[in-house]
Amino acid sequence: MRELIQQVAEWIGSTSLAEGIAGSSYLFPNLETIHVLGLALVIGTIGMVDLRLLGFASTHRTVRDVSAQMLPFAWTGFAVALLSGLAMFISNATFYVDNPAFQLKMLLLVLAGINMLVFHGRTWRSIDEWDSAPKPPTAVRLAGAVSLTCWVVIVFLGRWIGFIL
Amino acid sequence: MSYQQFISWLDATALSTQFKMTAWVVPAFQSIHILAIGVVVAVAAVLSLRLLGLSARHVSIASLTERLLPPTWWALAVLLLSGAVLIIAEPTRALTNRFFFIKMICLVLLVPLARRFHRAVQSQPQRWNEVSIVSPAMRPVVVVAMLLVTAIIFCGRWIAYA
Repeated sequence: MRELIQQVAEWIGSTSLAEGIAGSSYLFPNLETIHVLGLALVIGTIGMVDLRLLGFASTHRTVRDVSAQMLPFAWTGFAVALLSGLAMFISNATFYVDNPAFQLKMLLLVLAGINMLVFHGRTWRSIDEWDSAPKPPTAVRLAGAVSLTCWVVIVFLGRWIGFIL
Repeated sequence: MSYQQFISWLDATALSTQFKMTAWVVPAFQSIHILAIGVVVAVAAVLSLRLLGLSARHVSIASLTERLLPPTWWALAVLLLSGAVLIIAEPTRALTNRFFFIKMICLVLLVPLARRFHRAVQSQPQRWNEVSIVSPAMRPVVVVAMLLVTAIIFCGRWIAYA
């Protein structure tokens, strides 16, 4: 498995797209900036939803209302961060797959995804019971706590990638 | 004391030396800085699109502003403090950097703009509760604020490359 990942990473690094991004002196910093803009939008708006789920903020608004307003922003930001992140990954794939901060970051992204799927697939079914509750039930607050923790740690790990060389 | 002397003095302080010797200080405070940027970017995006009438028209501008702007001022405090730590840790890198200066100019323009907007809403909450879309005259101001936020983030990242 490890061998395979290495080989794929080496192949990605040899493509002309990878060489194009790596060879340009202004492209990488601009990709980083776009990545920051995207992830800032994700963490900021997801954070607002998470704080509502935890019962810490926007308690006089329904969970549905807060989610409906914030999630389109979060998904837009995620798409921006994903595409810019992918471009950065391609430029130096062998470095990233070996970077522990990057590996852990990907693991937490998967965890945040699973948390979201469980929340929207299962917990959300009973939303009529807690939609307007200032302090939602434990399962809901747990989902908010897991999500917020994941995204905060993801930001730290993302910054750490560049410091492990 | 000249500007160069000030940078040399800051560089030689015990605090700066301590920060330089502790490897996690810069990445940790950069991460905190980015988290606070997340608050600012999200609030700027949500509020701007609401003001332009492009999202959540049923939500009152006055209540949205009152909910979103106070935490943003706290985020600004976190940004200034974490930014100060980063300057102290690497004085020359920041204080002789043209992107740093452009960033500061944008910041000095953005903060009073946001303050004036916040005050305007606070002084006439009734009026801002009733409108579903702000006056066309307000739109350029919203666009300028969004551009300033974007420019600040671009300059912030480019400090590392200049």
